[in-house]
Amino acid sequence: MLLNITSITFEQGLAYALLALGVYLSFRTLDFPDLTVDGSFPLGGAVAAVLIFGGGSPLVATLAAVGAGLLAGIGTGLLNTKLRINPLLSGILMMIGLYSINLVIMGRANISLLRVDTLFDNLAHVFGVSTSPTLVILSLAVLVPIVIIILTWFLHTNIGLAIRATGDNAQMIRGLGADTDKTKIIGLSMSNGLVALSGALVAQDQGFADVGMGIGMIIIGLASVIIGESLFRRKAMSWILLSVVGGSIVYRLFVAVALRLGMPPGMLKLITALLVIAVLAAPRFRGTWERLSRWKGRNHA
Amino acid sequence: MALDGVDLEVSPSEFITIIGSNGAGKSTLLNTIAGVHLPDSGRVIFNGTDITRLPEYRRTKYMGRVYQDPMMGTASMMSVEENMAMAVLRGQRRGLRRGVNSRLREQFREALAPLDLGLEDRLKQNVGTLSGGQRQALAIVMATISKPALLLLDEHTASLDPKTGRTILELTEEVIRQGNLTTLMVTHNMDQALKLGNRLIMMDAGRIILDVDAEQKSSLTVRDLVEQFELASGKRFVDDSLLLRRREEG
Repeated sequence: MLLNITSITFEQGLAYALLALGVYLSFRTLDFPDLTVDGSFPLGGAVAAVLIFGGGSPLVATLAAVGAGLLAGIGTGLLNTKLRINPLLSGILMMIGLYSINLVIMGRANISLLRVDTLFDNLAHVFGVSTSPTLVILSLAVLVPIVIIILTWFLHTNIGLAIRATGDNAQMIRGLGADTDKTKIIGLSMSNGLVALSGALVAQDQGFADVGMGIGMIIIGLASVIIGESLFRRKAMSWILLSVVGGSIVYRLFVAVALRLGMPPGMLKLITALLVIAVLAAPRFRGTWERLSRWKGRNHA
Repeated sequence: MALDGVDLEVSPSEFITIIGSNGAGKSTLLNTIAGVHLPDSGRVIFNGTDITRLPEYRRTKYMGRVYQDPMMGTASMMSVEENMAMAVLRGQRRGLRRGVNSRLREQFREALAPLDLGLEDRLKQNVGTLSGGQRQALAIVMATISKPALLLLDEHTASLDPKTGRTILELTEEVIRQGNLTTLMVTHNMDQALKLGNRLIMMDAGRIILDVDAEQKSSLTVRDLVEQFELASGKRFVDDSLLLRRREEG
């Protein structure tokens, strides 16, 4: 049982880590609360599933899913920067629109991938083993660090610095001649590309894509980001990104244990929302907590 | 907050101080030059080119700017060297090359060392950990490191404590002198406006009501300026920081 929890924790933690990295890019790097995520995650799943189900190569299908995510992010970026629609609303509009688009892409509400070979089945063939959670974990354990290395490099290039500055002090970087419309669009595009990649891998791992698989993904991503940040508290970019992956794994551990302790699966989203509220509210109560403990200390003395 | 028929011609290496009461249009003038505001009518000509419609981010190639709020000129969650790296590329294409390398780092150290704030040893520290004065000093270096054709200073010492403000002002003078930079400096402080620079303009209600060159300026006192203001505008000079100053002199 313990082994089972560990395995599920790492399998899902790593697959959803890419989602969390995407959310980190929009939420933290760009300071853009991008709700597109709830649409681009199933978009990735839908594109990958349709192509694989239709006999396409799983690798090509996964790359196509990333491409679709990049486009969704560009869409949200254009709504915000060119049509001047508020960030939250831009994301919500794109998310709602994507729901229908995902249905059109799939042609029905869900597609099963159990009878076709996924990326993980292909990898298993290459290494001459059978598809197992261990294989999924190992392949993700290679992929996720590669993504982190690429992201770390990118965020330290000149364009990467400009993207980070857009979320930090947009007026300043505009004053230095960077087009913040462009940096926002690039950042949102990369963010949703990662989210769609996560959706494509999750669909192939769980063996189906469902039009409803995106509900609450933004909060799960955000939960991972803030758990990672508050647990590891690192400053260097590569460590922050690793912390986010760590946050995703810790979140999955939390979920696995809660389910094992008998929590009804339907409660999961509520618990996640409460978890995020608790972590976001914590700084507000830190002062109160310190006053309380000081007061207690005095009474004991 | 408006300009009304402002006609200002700035020659290379002029250092113009701009004074005026609250709401006289000093900041609006800088914002119009920098492209933050578009004028309803009239033109902004730079080196013979009409840049009136050029978006802000495209004219910054020529202009360095330091704001009143030290928070505005720097990115707090990024390191000193990353902030500098962004400033070095003012107005240039930003590509996939690494932002900071050892050659640039050396250049940053050399640019920061004269400040005497120890910033050259804190290149990797986040700017958010610096004091307001340190951030403003960094902002000045960032605004001038790529040798802009025009430097815009918008009351950049006003939000600092007096001692830090003086240090920053000396630093500003030094940087402007060394780079022979054409500068527009908005200030609330008439003393500053008289002591610094080689031309002074006074604004009121969106218009330039006084424009004096270096020679005339050297013979003026704060009292003269206030009198000139009241003569030209027909009203009393309203500015809290100046009232104090007048009492000291009177």
